Amino acid sequence: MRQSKVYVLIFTAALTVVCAVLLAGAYQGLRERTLLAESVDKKSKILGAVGLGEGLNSKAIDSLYDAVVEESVLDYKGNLITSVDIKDVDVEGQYKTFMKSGAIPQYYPIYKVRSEMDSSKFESFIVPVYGNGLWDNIWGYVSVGEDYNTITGAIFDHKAETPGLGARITEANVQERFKGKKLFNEAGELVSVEMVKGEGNDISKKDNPDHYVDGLAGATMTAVGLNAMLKDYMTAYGRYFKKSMVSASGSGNSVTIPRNFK
Amino acid sequence: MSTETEVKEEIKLKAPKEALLSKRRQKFIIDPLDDDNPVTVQVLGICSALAVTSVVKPTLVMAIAVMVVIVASNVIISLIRNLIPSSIRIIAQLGIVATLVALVDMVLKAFLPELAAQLSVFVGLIITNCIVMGRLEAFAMGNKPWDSALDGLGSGLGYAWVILAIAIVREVLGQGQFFGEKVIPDLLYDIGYVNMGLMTTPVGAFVVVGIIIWVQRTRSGYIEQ
Repeated sequence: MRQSKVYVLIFTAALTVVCAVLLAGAYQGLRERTLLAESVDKKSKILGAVGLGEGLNSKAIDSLYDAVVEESVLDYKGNLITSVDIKDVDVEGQYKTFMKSGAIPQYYPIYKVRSEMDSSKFESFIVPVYGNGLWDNIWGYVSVGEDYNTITGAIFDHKAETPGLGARITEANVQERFKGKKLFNEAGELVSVEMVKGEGNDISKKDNPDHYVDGLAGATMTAVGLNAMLKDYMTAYGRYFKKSMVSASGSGNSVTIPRNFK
Repeated sequence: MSTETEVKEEIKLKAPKEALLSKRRQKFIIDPLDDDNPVTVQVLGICSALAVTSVVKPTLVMAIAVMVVIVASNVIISLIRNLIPSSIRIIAQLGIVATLVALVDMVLKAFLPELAAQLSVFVGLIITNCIVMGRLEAFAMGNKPWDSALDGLGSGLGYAWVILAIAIVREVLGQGQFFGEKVIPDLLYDIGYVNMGLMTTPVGAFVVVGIIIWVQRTRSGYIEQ
């Protein structure tokens, strides 16, 4: 009986049903918690891009975030739009659509962090970035300072980069390299920041040290992906930063911004 | 007349129930710790031992996850061992292990999202960890649930201590940290001490495993023929 074909079928069916029910039940039961954990994780990453929120628990992260962060959505020309809720903006989804069809993402979330000293001013602007590493997607948050030009912090993450090589983009000492680097050059053109090939380079010896950071040994492809990711998103966000710079300085100069969300 | 007394005596000769942690059962837990260690003696589960052990925190989570999977799968398979048709034995075992690993992955993502992201694919790869399937085939398929649970616990602990040992060495030597906290004083860095880069790569892990095996065999006197 135990070895008959009918029994095998019955057993397999029963096993499948039991496992499926267990998995579906666990998924449903944990859904709320998972979403909450993801949202707190995202908030702590955003705060982490400006060095805030370290060592705080979920509740504290939530309250800190609500107190200092103002969320907005931009269109790809860099204009603030109110018609779209930031919760509906799917950075990952838009990027993946772009990879498939070439359709440039339309909506760009931006997180403005209020200054502690003067709550009417914003001291940092945090933007999400998304791209491709060597094996799979990489993403992160870059924070830009009051001058709309200098990077004040960066956090990167990845899905499947090689541990010890590409995965090092998550390390604090690698992310620190971006602090103080600038997005626009002297002429006001968007240059973004690039990781050079190899590690242990003396960046100060380069022509434009403000636009380069030291690379990663053995992870050139991940670095190339990172550079492209920054270039792409800073092209879009750069339009907003440029407008903000112009309106802040009141000079009204028009400057060309390369239109290449490649 | 005589047959009646014989029957009565037979009934009295039934063996006394074995203690929950009898000597035999204690061996299930103790043997895999040293003499029959799944990683260093049976050479199973090496992939995750090399891959996740660069930092201690995720290694600890991994060790617990693997222990949970081994014990749970051992118990479940042992409970239904007489129901599984032999023609689909391996597939049935795999299905149960995969379900358990998926459950563990979901729980991790819900309660420890940052660590889950650090471990990423390696939690899923617990399914392929030879120790899990190895214990199912070698033990759970032919033994009772409590014994299988103990055996699973032993193998899990054997795996856990080895990967934790590797992780501690790799994190302290390779990054100068333990559990994220700096442990090498700045003084040493100032006089020229440098973190051992080799320890951050799987090659370093391999070397540490080798050293552990070396120490073990020196103590046990085992010589390969």
